[in-house]
Amino acid sequence: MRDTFCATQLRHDLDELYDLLAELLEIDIVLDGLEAHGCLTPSPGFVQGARPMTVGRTEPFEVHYYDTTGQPLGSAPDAYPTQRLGLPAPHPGLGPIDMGFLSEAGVEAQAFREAARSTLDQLVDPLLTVRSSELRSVAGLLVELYLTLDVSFQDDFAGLRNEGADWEGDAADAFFDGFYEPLVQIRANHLWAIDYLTSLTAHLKAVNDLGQQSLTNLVGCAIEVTRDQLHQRHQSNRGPSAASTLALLTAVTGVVGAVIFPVAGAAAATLGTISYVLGYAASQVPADVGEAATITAGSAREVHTRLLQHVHAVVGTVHHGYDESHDHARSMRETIASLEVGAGTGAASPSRVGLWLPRQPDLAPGPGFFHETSGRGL
Amino acid sequence: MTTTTTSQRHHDRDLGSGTRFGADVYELHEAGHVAFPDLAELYSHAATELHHVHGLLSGIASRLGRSGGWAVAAQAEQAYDAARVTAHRLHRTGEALVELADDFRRTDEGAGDAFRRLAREHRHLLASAARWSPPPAPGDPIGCRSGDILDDATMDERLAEAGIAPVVPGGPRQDGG
Repeated sequence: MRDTFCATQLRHDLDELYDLLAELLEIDIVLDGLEAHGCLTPSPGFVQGARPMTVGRTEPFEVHYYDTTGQPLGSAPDAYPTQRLGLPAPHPGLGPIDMGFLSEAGVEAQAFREAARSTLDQLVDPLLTVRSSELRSVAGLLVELYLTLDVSFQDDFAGLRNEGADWEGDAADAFFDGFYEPLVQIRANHLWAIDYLTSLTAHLKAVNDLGQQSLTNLVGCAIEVTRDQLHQRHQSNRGPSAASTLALLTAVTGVVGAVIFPVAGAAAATLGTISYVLGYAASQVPADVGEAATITAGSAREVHTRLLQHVHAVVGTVHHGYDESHDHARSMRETIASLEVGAGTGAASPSRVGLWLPRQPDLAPGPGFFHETSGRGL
Repeated sequence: MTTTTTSQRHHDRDLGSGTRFGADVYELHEAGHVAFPDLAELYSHAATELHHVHGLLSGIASRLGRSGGWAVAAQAEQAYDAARVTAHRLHRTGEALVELADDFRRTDEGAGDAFRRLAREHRHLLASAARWSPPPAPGDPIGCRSGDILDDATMDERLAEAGIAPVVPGGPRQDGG
């Protein structure tokens, strides 16, 4: 399966988002500045020509503004004398407005873009380091190994099961009862370990995939809100926009919870779910896992803040998911420790033989290892 | 070796005698010469694969930035170590069984005859013994691999071949039931 998540694409989407947010912020700074400086309405009592200005790049629109303002009432010069004499109209008392805020808008928007993007990248980058196919590759190796070990190992692989009764002595018992017979259970426990390891890998993969897909969803949602805001500016509106998506916000459940961790002695029951789990989580945030993440915002800063909050939640949930992987791994280690009990104890009796590693038998002909035809047993 | 002393021979004769003894000694020899090396080789392969898996998971863990990845990698290492140790013990046990059978068959002429007859009959089987290739030692570098990714269809096919039907789980379960 090819990776359906592409970190390069997400970074491209983030570039697009923060370009749009910078554009939106610049538009709002310009509009707010024009309003604050009284550029949107003519000065009462003065004849002014409005200048057009194109704002925005995604959905550009024209704003008509005045870059001059009249003197305060009462200080305007008396126009009558020059009008009466037929002379050109004097300066009607208009003074230039300092429009420096227009150029500062672009600088401020870019500064916001850099800082906001940097903050988000610090959160997002750690979630982008592992490709889904890397973990899938590991799981594939483990499944192949499980199947190879399962079908290549017969319980009585050396045909010695019926030989044990013909040989006598402590060393013979240690070999047949303490080494050969337990190999069947030891093999089963090794299969269990590979099965469990496959589940652990699938768990890591599901958490990784869902985190990455959540980021994709959230960034897409933020772009949608920002584009709506730009459209609103084009329509001369500044109301809030909202959009929702699925994301891993508070809990790792659903397909991640569906990863079954086998119980020693009951191996082979769980591998059937593996291909499902491995394939399922890679392409989407399933409805049974994701929660609705809504971004409601009326400005670039609000979009960024809401996105940051949701990404924080996703990062926290992903970390929680990996902590769960840790807990499952610890359970595996504890189970293996319980299987090792008895491995280091004295004489091997079946009940005290460790079931994780075979004991190296001591094989030498003599009083401890002889054939029943020797007559010793008579 | 045929030059055993009288006292040794007397001692050795106590170990068993006759054709059935010889046949059972041959069984030990065949197990040590064929079955144990085959299984040792299978475990050596398993250890090689798990060593590779451990390397891959360690590389992933170093990028995940959480202890969960390292914990999973550590379990891969534990499984690798189990396969490695098992491979070596199976290999050494195979060698020991062959030596044991050789010691036994020299103690009784009848047993030796039966042993040689069976060895001739099964010479093709005995010649098929797997060659021992030791598994990688801890810390050995991970070799380059290609074609590792098992696609969905192939994985389902391999599972079906093993009698494991792909299952869509009904819901969260962690009890292994």
